[in-house]
Amino acid sequence: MFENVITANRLDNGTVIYLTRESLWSHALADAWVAEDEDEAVVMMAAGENAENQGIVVGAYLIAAEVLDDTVVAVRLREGIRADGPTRRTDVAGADEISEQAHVPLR
Amino acid sequence: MYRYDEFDAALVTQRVAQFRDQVDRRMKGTLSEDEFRPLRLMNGLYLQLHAYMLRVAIPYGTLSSVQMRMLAHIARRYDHGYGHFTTRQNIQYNWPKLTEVPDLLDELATVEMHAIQTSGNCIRNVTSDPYAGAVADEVEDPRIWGEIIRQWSTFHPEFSFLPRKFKIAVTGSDEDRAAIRVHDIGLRIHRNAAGEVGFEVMVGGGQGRTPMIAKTIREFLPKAHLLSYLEAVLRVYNLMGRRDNKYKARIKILVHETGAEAFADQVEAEWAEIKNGPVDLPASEIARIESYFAPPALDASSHGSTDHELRMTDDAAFAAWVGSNVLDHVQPGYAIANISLKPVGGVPGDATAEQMDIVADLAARYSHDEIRVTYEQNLVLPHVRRDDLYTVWQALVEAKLGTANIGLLGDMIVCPGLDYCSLANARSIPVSQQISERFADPERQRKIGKLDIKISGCINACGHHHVGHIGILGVDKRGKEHYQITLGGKPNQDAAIGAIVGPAFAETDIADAVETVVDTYLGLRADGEEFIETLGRVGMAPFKETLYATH
Amino acid sequence: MPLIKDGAFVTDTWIRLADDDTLLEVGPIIVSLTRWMAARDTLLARGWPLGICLASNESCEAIAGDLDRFEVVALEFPTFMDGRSYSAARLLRERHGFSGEIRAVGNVLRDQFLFLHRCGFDAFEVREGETVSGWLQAVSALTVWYQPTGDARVTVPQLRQLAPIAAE
Repeated sequence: MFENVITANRLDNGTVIYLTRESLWSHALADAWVAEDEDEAVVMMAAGENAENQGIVVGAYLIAAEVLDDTVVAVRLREGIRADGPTRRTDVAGADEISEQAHVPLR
Repeated sequence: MYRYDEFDAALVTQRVAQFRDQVDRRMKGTLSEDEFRPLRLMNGLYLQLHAYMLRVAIPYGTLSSVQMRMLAHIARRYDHGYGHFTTRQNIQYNWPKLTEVPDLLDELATVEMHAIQTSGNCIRNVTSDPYAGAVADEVEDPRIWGEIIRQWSTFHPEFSFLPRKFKIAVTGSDEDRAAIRVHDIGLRIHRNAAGEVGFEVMVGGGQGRTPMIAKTIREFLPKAHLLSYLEAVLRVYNLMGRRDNKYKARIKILVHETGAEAFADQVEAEWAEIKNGPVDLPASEIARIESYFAPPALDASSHGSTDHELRMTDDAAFAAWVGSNVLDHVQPGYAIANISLKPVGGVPGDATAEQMDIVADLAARYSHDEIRVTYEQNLVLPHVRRDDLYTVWQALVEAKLGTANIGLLGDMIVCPGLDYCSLANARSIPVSQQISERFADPERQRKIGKLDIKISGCINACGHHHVGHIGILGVDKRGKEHYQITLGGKPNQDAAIGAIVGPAFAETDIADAVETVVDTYLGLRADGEEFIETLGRVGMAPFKETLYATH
Repeated sequence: MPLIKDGAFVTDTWIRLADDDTLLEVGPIIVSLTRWMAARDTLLARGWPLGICLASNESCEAIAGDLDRFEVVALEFPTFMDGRSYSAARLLRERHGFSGEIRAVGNVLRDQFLFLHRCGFDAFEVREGETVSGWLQAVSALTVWYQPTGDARVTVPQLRQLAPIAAE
């Protein structure tokens, strides 16, 4: 299973974001651009690095994700926790951040 | 407690302005992330699993009610309404925004607080005995020296790019309530044969990948020479510490590879050159700082009325809380009251903004305005009149801060783990919640007695698992969380690193395994024997047998 | 590379020789410790000002006895995270009394200027695009210092000694 989704943090507020097919960034893993092969993943990584160089995001890296039904799910537990917020805590997870601007356009 | 003068205040304010400029340059792109990272780390700001994480310093674990109210305000205004108290007596916020951190730091500065050097390869927050200044077995209040070290180490121009982080702990009693022997430098204040007060200096303790107990490199260092001696240790470390391998860069590796005696000789040789120089403080400055730690004006006539005794008889829950959470104060009629941040099924060490405000109010009214943070992730009201304990307890219970479990099984040290930390291999909080719920019955915990469970989500050991009576280390086995048990660790003056019992347990089995260990102990213990004593007497074999016999 | 000294850009008159560069017959040169140890007499015989460059893992004790031969000691930062040269500079100034130029070379960034200066560096090989105002801003970002070094800055403990005794 190769790594097929780009994730990063927004530089200004640190929230977890995923690169979408439109080269925007979403807080929802479900919106992520899932690469179909390793060549596509290379292109995605370049887009991630570009966003880093432009100072929009920080710490872009590839993760492995699966498309299930109509959503996207992280393979590793760590990435699942990063996508969904801390487990066992329903009052204060990052969920309320998603209500903010859901898509951060690339400049 | 210490109060800033104009110089202390200026430094903190200037630092915020400097950091604000660095954040601006980062946002504009004139600073790259590689260049910015060490700068933000030196201001306590990490990029963590979910967001930025800010670690605010609570020097030697002491704060006032005003400061605690500010921590509550920060949680509400800049974060998600809660904070986490750490095993270095600091507080962590998990959701600050980079662009708001300069404002956050400015607000902290108004109450003499900061996030300076709580991360990075520099000298970190100096930790100490949470009962300092309140406890009878103290030779001298170690926080005086905590403050002296804090100032000397802040923006030390020579030691801001060390091979790795550097942690110093200081205690004023022989009973070590600050785990000094697993610190890079541990300092024990004591009297020599001539009755002079000085430090035993221990170097090279630490947990993590290669846990080690610190070695004494000097039995007695006269107080007045503390800073010059520390400067000698740090200079040897800065020059000789390994920089080729991040995992071998702590001073414990240098001491181990050099040999403690040879290392001590190097320090002594360097110290000989500088000990009569200007870095040691003049006696007047030591006295000035010392004066801030004079005991508060306690009521000498108070000895705890019969009211208190009656309450103890009438109210079993209150009596239980006094039994586990309350310690004698050096002043008769007063008590040290521990506030447990380990409610059953809760997140260990977390407190909501509301809870912080309540603790602040209680401190202002009942504890001479003082609060302590312990490295075991609890809080303390250090100066409470015995007569006030019942009222304080009632308020704590209402705020869900009244759990009577200090030192008992439910009082676990637990790192944030994979729920929060990008270094982690496994979650630690849900494991602690399972164990906490399994052993929820307070009567059962009291029957079991003193038992320290410490849980880390990775080998960095921020949960102190190496020095837990039962240590639990989360590992990743083929993508699944597993937990390895160690037994026999001790953090205090009998410091010892725990030994692994056997193969790791699956996440579904770890609570059972802990219960097996506890039941094994209960079946073997002699009258009045604590877990750690029984283990010392019978060894690991009975536990290995019961844990792995059926496999 | 641009060189800042005493708060201004200066022309660097020194040539830094690699170990395998032909030895220049004239002009001030900076050589490595290796070259100094191998060709000490030849270098001294030139009769031109001499400087030496130490790598971060080379001890300043190796040149402590010869400091009067050098007008410049350059201390290398392979990465700005390698803080060994801060100690080396302090030892050169405070232990061995070196009064020549101590120059920071390598990965030297604005946010290190103040600490470098406090430790005894007085010349800084900086990145292209660095400015004098950037330098000045960096070294004046903090005006309060707790701990003494060999610099002339008055420390907080010293200021406290001068302050009138508080009424309380």
